Amino acid sequence: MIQMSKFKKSADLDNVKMVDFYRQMLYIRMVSVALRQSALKMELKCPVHFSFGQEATAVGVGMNLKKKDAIVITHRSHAPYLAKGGDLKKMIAEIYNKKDGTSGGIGGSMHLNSPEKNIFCSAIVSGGISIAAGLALSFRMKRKNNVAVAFFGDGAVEEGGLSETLNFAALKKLPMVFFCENNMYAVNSHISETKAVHEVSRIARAYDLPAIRIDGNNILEVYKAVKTAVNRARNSRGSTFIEATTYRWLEHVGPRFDHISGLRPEKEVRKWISRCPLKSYEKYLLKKTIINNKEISKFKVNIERRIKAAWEYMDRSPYPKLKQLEKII
Amino acid sequence: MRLISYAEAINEATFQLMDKNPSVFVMGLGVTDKSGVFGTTLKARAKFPDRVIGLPIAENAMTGIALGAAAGGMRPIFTHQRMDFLPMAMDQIINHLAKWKFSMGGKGSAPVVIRAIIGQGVGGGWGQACQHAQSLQAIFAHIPGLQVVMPYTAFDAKGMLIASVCNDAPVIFIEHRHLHGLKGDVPRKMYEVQLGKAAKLRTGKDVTIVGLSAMNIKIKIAVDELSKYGFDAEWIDLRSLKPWDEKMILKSVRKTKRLIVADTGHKSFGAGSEIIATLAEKLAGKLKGVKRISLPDMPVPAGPTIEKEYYPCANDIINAVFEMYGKKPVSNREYMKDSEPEVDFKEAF
Repeated sequence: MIQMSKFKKSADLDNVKMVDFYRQMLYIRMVSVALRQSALKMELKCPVHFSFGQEATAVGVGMNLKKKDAIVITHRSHAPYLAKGGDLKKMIAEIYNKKDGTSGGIGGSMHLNSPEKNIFCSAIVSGGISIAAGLALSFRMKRKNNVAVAFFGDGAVEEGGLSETLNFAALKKLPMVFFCENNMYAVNSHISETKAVHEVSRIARAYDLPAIRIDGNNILEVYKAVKTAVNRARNSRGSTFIEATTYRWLEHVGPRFDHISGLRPEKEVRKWISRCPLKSYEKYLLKKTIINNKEISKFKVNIERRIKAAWEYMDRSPYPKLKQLEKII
Repeated sequence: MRLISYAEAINEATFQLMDKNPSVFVMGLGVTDKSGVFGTTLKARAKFPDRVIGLPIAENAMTGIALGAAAGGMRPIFTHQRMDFLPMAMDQIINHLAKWKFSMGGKGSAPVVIRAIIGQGVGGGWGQACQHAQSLQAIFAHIPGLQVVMPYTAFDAKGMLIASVCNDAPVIFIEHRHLHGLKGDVPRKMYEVQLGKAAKLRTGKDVTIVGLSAMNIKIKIAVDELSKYGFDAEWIDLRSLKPWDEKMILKSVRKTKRLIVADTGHKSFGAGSEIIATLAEKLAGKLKGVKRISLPDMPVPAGPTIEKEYYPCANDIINAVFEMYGKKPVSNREYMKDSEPEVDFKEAF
């Protein structure tokens, strides 16, 4: 297992930005906690894939993107959706399958699409990668200075769609970033059961694309790597492959822990929880006196308020009717 | 009257679409070749080389790229030389393209046109065999969110390609290789032929014969021959398989009480099955005869004699009508020989 890397402040970062990273991760974590409660109470009627432990990856990407940049996300969508600026109220309504959800309530947790924010979603493993490449191609053809980021997990590396897209992106020098969250598990299968090469970023080198493997639990490291990749893409220098190693705390889908049902060793889960991307960064910021406990409490109160408002919005929204769907096919 | 070929009509429509709208572009394996996919991409390439993009052989990801480009405001025409390679792209077509708008609750649009060419081996003894001569339209027509069109005339090829590219939902645009050489009267200007509307090519009262794509070539021969025997057939070119023109066919069959559907695909769960089932629901007890003319439930074999046995011909259509009227079937070698038009096989394929 990889040891937690040290936080290293790069020269371009000021304290305001560093606090922003923290606030974003805290926001995503607190929303996840609230949603997990809903799931445990059996209020959610669609499969929900949580991102506990994977907040730094989402925020490290989101903080580097502009509104007109695009991301294509996966079934594990909440964290990158929120990090890209996706609307919280609409997300909660969507997960509750309400009419005012971001996809009208009919997509659920696995279809958090928000075209107005350039957030697109595919729940088929590897399915969104080529779509991100297509968005990158459209930016090129329309002479827009934007970037597309494909989120995918280590499981997607086994799919042909990734290889096909790597070739095309390298060939056309597309303005895109391949962002792989390697959490070492595809559903319940450990990487050792499914892959000959565990350092998945090596696949990109076969296509002459720059590839970097980073600690995905270290927000500063993620931010820096994504910044370099996004700058390359924006400056017409082509695509980059980033492998961010991380760990999902909960089961593949649902609100429970895997070690309870014996699917993963408890020791492994506990070790990764001790490397929490949020807590470790909080500790670092406190130590460097970039932030204090009073400010943290203030953030929490603020986020709680937003969460409450989102649930109220969801409560007010009705369920959609089948009749209304006919015209959208 | 301005006679140009079906392939030339597609070539012209593509060029005009790209000339009018800078978001339209062509992508596909071989679209930049000298032969330009049977001549259909040449004009566009000569004028807009940056918007005619040759692709690697990676049908699935390339379909995703077409979809992503469409999500980014482009209007791709993704061209395949053979429909048999579309199964490589099924994840993107079925899971993504067809679901794009729906999964966003109706917000997004995916104006992707996928051109697929079928009929590479029909009757000509070209031996393209089981992986290079398939007509898979029924598979796509089954999927909500996809439109499937199969123009027969050069006029429709142009008008329906323009309508398809201007449509905000994905279209599978199917061309039969034997139609590429057929000439028709095609206006020079841009025009749209509305998707979902069939075309009545002959008015009659005794039987309704619905044809898809190149099956219309055989129907044309059959209806002329049938008239010599005193049968007055109504001939409808379906043109658009999904959505299909239920209204026109229903009206025709109400009159004729008899329906033959001639399809280029396999019999089971095919276009004929769907159309006849729908009519059976609507005209329960009123139908006096139905028949599917289609490929057997067997992959396409290769070989000059066996292909003639395998593919339905005009004689099969004639006999289907005879059977409905209790008349003894005839075996006419002339119609068995086939009704294929002259196709220029000089091009490499």
